[in-house]
Parts: sequence; C-alpha cells; structure tokens
Amino acid sequence: MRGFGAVLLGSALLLLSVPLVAHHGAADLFDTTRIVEQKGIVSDWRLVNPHPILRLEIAEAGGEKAIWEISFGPSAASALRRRGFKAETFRIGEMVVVRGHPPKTAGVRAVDVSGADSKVTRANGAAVP
Amino acid sequence: MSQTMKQILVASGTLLALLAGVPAIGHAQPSAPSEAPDLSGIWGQFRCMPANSDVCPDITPPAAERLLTSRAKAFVNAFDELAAPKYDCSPATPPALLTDPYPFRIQQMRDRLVFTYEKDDVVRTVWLEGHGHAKPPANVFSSHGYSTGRSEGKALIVETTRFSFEPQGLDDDFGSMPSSTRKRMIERYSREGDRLRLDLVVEDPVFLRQPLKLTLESTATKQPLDLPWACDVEAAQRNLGLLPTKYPDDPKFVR
Repeated sequence: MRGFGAVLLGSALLLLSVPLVAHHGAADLFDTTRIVEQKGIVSDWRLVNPHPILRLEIAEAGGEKAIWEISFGPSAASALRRRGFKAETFRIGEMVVVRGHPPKTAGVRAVDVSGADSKVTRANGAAVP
Repeated sequence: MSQTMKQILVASGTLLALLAGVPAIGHAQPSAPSEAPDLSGIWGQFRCMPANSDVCPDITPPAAERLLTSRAKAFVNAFDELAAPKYDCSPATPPALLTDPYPFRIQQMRDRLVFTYEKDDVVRTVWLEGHGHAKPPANVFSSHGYSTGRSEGKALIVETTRFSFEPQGLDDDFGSMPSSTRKRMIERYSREGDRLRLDLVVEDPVFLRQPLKLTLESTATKQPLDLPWACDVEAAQRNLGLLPTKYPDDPKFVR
C-alpha cells in the first residue's frame, strides 16, 4: 500500500507524533543512511511470500557464530522472481557477501539489501541474481 | 406480531423498494441486466495519478488532518503494529489491496466480474445488477465486502459495502488505519486500449470526516499472475523481530 497509505499514515503520524513503524518500508525498519557489509554462510533460503527468507550464519566479533536475517525490503517472492531470483539461487552452505542497511532497532541481527546502493555477491564476486 | 401485520410490513417494504429502485432483499432486481464494459485481462500494478508516482498528491498532511475523525486518530494512537493481522497472513483488504504493487486479473462473465489479485491471492466477485443475484443477509460482513456493478456509459461502477471491521482497513502498510462496517467503496473503471483507469472513493463516517478520493492507472500486461501466493506464516512474522516493542509481556515470536 504505497502512496495511499504512506502519505495518509505519514500525515497521521505527523499529527499524532506516534512512533508507529512500518511493515514493509525498509526506511522505517532500517537505517538507510548507513551501509554495512557482512560475509556469511547461507543457512536458509526460501523464496516464499510475503517476504523471502535468507538467513546467513555469520562469525561475529569474538568468533561466535549467529544467524542473521537478510531482508529484501517490501519485495514478495513474486516480485523477486520477476527480477530473476529462483528457488535455487542460493545453496545452503555457500558463502555470500551482503552489502546493505543495518536495522534501526538495536541488537537486531539483520541487513536490508533492497536499496539501490545494496547488493548480494557470491564468494567469487559475482552479483546475485 | 400478527400475520396481518407481517403481510402489511412485507407489502410496504416491497412497495418502498420498488419506488426507490432497489430490490427487496433476496429477490431479483427489476431493472434490465447490466452490460459491463470489457475490462478483461491481466493488469499491472496500479499507480497513483497524476505523475504516475508512488505518492498520491491528493492526500497531503493538511488533507489528512481534514480527513480523519478524532476516533481515527485515537485508534492510530492506541493500536500497536505488532498486533496487526497481516503478520499471520491475513490478506490485505480494499482499498490497500488496490494500491499494493502487484498485478491483478479481471475475468468477465455475463453476470459478474471476477477480480483476482496476485497479492494474497484475493478473489473479489462483482455481481452485475439486474441478473437476479440474491443480496447477502443483513448480518453477513467480510474483509472484502459485497460488491455490485453496473455500467455507466463506457465505465463500470462497482459499489462495495458489508465490510467487516478491520484494524487496517484504510491502511495496512505504515501503521494501522482502521475501517468500520460502514465503509463504502465506489470504484469507477474505464478503459482506453491497454490502459485502465480507476477513480476510487472510500467513505467511512466512523473514521473519515470526508471521502477519500484517489485516481489510479494500470497498463495491460502479458505476464501471468504469480500464483498461488501461498503465504508463509514464518515469513510473514519475520519482520516482527525487526520492530521495537514497548510491552514486556510480548510473546516470543515478536522478539
């Protein structure tokens, strides 16, 4: 519900100063002014609706491993399929590098790769898809 | 109530209905069957007009101040995003459904049109007037309402009522703008070649001080709909983990 809802609710928020957050809008969930890069091993990949699931096992500072969520923003599986993504685009166990925006909520392990300044690449540097 | 009284009431109701040009509930309409213009095909996502942009210029912040009732503002203030039904795969409802960026299909039949939206795999049936379709009983409401259609020149007019109360019935994306059982939606569809125009009016005296008006355009596409939608509950709930919460007793799935 872009447009209609965004402006209407944005207006309501201005009126009410209520800290509502968006379901779909990456700008509301992620800090689009910052770019982070993470390298990890694909632990889950499902091209499902309403939002595809891509999870990476990432070695964090100190050597401990944790699961991170990779967000494609508002895109549903159908939208990603039209952009060339497939069920076999990622293999469990393969290494990928994600470059995108960090979440606004502190402590959340996630990266949003839906922006024009974001990308996902394979170990050999090839862009995905 | 006596039998005579019942007969008088039924006769009075039928007479009033005929005078008003509307059918008695559950009976065929007296008017000629409506012939809808040809809208059949697969259509790309609607875009707000003018400027073909994602932002509709007729709903600006000053307009929202005029549009929303005090009750609507209070609801937005009170309702928590984390309680939204969409996180359990509950489908989008109109008008949000119409402005979501996904294609849809219109199938045209003699007495009805069937709208299938890729988003959430929602199917709406528009019953053309004059074909004797029974109206739903007075106690039947649903997320997508009850739609009837009629032609008006080269346009199709769709009127939808009988919406159930929806916590996100006017907006489901950037918060929770509710709609009441008094929501009424008028869609005016007109086609010029491979372009489809929708003039949309949404009324809701409980939550809107004046009708919402929107003009949308779509272009015919040859790409098929990507169905079934097959919403995945885990995927729908994923974003809950990204949202801040102010309630310490939240269940684990929102953390």
